[in-house]
Amino acid sequence: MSGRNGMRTAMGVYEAHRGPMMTPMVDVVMVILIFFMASTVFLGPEWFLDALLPAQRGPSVAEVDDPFALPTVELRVVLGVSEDGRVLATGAGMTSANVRTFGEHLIELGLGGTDEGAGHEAPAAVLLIDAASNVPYEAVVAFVDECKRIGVREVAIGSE
Amino acid sequence: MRFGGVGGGGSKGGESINVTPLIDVVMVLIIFYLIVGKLAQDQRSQLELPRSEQGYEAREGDVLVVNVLRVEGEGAKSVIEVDGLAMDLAVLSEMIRVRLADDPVTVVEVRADRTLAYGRVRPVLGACKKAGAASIRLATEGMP
Repeated sequence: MSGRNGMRTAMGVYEAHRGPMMTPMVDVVMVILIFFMASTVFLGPEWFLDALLPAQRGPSVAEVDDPFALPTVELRVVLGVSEDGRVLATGAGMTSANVRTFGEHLIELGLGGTDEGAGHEAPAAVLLIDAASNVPYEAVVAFVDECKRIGVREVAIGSE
Repeated sequence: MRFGGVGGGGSKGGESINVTPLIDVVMVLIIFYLIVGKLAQDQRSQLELPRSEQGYEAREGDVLVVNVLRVEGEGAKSVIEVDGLAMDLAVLSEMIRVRLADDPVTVVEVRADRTLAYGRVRPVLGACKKAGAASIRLATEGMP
């Protein structure tokens, strides 16, 4: 392809020797790639778990609205680390149980969440979680997560 | 010098400059500085959050983000940061108290490194309670 003066244009050179121009496509792909990378940074999967701070807990909504409502069940569980490094829970009639076993025990106690099949709702219950200083923070959060999974309505976390 | 389109050799000199790469580079630079600026403003420090399966994603309302970062070295120490400023427990407690006095519905969000021992996080929760916070929000890394 030649220009009016017989000179080859840039487009002509590309078409003649290298096929279609890839540069704009590569540029656009790069911009799209950067956009999605940036979106991933900003919209990272950050989730939240609510936890009460024990001394501040007041009467539940049910207790305020209904003077005949049963008082909220309060259970205390203490997390510790065994000699072999496992995190174990003690409380509510269980001693040195792992997290899953303790969760199943809470369900047996009727503190689990809604049983869709039976239409059963968990009673108002607060689980006070405390942990030894050497327990990994991740394990404490995992325990809170497990309590939420089985449906314990309110979880309080020790701060003293 | 003339800025023309691709290969648009319309000038008498027959020379023109393709501005497409220039625009692309400028766009990339703009995006880069937007990202850097956004990250610099972000209250969230980069740390490894504990994982959870049951958390929720909502992030609304007035939130005070308290970061508890791990300091590499002997004894796995930690440092408390709010808005990028390191502070001790007394200052943190006072800051939370003032924020709650201004806006009682302020949510205190605790973002602690998952590799810390609970003994490093407990004092932060104690400071929150001392300041009058009824509850806190634990930040986690979601595992959908």
